[in-house]
Amino acid sequence: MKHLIFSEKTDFSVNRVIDWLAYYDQSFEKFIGPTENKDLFIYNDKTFSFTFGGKGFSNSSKVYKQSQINTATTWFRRPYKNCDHFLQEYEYQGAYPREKLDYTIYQRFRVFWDFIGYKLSEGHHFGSFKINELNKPIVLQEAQKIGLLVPKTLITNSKEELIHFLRDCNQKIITKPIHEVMRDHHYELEKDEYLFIYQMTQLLEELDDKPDIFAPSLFQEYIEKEYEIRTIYINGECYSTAIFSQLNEQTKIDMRNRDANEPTRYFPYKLDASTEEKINVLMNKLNLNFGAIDFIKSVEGDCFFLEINPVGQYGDVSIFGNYYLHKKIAEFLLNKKEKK
Amino acid sequence: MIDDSEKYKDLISIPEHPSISYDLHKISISHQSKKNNSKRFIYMKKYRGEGSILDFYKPNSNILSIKEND
Repeated sequence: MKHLIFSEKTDFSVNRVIDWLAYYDQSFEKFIGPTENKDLFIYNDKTFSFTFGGKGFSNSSKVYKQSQINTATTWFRRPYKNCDHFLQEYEYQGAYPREKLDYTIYQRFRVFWDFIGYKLSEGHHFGSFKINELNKPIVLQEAQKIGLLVPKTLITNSKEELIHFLRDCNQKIITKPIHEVMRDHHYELEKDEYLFIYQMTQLLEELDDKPDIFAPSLFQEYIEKEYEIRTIYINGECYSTAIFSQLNEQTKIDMRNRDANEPTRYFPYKLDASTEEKINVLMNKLNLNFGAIDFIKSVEGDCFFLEINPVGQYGDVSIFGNYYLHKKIAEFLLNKKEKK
Repeated sequence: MIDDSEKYKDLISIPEHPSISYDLHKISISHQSKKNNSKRFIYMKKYRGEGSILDFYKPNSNILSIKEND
């Protein structure tokens, strides 16, 4: 029996969970993609057979690669949605356009890939095959509905509305992407020299500069924080740390802008029971058993909910909070009860 | 990480357009070099022997900024 793990190349925390799986003498296989050519879950090298329906016909799921692959558990850590890598080079000179044929093949691959995810989700699994991103405005609205405090938020494509909002928020707002941040990019200048292009949350205190015209965008009031809270939600349990990102100018607006030699201070933290209960309700509503959840504790003492990342990083919270989350995840995959 | 956005603003110029969101006009740029970073991770070095967070040393880790001479 094997543990299947769907992740990506830069997700180092997975390796720490694998260390624990190895400690428990477990067999596992990690798939990363879709940008990598190796370690992909390809099916050209496998034989699949799923049966169901009819009268007296048995439901079965079989996957063979030399011998039958039996799945113990599946961890959808960062499952990939694209399945271009399933396409094989083939000779074709027919009248039907090649790109339309490729598109049709891709759609079929995609449906089958989703079906595999659906079947794996029927077994013992962690994370979600379907949800590797959330709609930020919807999550904020849902959080507000169940009683969590969210920052004043504006989604608009009107500069005039934005000016009013800035005034309403004492001339301090932030702009952050409505979706996840733009992917970083290394722009080569010359040998060993490059420009690193990235995106951070930006503080806006005036709107004199461009743009005047823009697509619907997300703006929120800037909250003077005492500290940030990152909570890792695992199957109904909240593991939180207070993060003192306001102590460093560099991490004040966006804590990701960290410095390796001046690390941000983390401290184990316990959210109040009411907030943990609301988080539980929200996560159940979103059908998630894992999430990295961000809060801000304002200098006035209010706790603002910011967002949930359903595939967020938990390594920092685990290490600095001394929570052994890698071990807990491995033990969940093993279906082990936590030792008291 | 030193924000060099002003210096290289032409390289991160995004057109003003009703299809482009506001935040994309606020992207940043920083000049970096491709040296072996592991020697510059002064603080993290003390954890090296513990084997728990060695991944921070990898070139594509999520540590963005390293100050020299600290």
